[in-house]
Amino acid sequence: MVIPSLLAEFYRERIEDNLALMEYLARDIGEMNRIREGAGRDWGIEELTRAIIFEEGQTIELLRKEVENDRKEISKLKKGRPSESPA
Amino acid sequence: MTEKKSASLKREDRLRALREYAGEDRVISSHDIALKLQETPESLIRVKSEIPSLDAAIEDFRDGEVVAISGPTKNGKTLLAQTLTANFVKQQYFPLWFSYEVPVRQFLDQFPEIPLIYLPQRLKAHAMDWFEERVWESFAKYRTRIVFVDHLHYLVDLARVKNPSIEIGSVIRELKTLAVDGGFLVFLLCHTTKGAFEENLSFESIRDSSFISQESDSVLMIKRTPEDGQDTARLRVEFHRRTGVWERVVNLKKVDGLLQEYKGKSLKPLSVMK
Repeated sequence: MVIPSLLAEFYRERIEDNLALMEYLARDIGEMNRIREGAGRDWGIEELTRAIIFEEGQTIELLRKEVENDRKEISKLKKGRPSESPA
Repeated sequence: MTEKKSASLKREDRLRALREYAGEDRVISSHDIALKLQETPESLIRVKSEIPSLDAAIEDFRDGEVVAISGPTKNGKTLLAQTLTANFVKQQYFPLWFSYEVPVRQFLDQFPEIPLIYLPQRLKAHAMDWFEERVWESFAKYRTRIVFVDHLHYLVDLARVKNPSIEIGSVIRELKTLAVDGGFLVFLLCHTTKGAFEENLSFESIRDSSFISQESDSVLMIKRTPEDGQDTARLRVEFHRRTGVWERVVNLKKVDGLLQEYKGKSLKPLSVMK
């Protein structure tokens, strides 16, 4: 049996981590764009940066959804309806 | 005579100093400029609207351009801008948005899926310096080069200015300078004058200032066309300075929350959008 306050703490920590990671990835996408701009017509770099941006964009979206879910879980815990285990 | 001689000597000194001047803004020949331009890419960004007829008319949006989007209220200006945004994001260009008119929650809800874009946490109206600072902040952090402003009148405090037209003209010039110096592509949404709805709609219908169309690289006018069906609109490229296109019409339809091109039922004379 997981204590609800510990669960809430877990979700809060994960939200914090995810938000920090989202910001890091957004800036990294910016960095990839800077590299892409500087590469001129180097298609190798163009393709590589595009692939990285795509992956990072997808990850940001997944992290946002996880943050949304975690917020819902915290809200449930506050109302006294804890989930069995962290999603 | 002595004064004349002294003035002449001063000029000589000045000319001697200028002959050695090597600052960034020094005057050079067109051939030198051409060689320098060869070393730099023609454009930092080239991005498609993914609306085929619009892309054919403008040959991609590029950095250094200011594009005005206008039309009567509730006729799809913001929706067009959001469609462009979603299509730019697909091409991995992530815009910075200043959504003054639509509250952020509503603005994001209007997208079928939240795209990766950037927005200031808080907006400050009628503050051009603040606006420029945020544009540069977003560039420094996320390398954003595309900027949407919805809409122009939030950048200018019309209540405080004596001559709105001149003030708006000055803001547009500042935006153009920002676009050129920073390599940004700026989309500027602006209203039309009251009553323009009933009249023929053109870039001359843009509210408050002829400077908007004069200083913009392109003007896109959008208007709903209920006579062609629900959720349809007509987009007209009033002009595009780079491509020389003039009065090109594109029929649009709202599909899954965003605009797409479709072949319209009726093609009215292109110069008349009633």
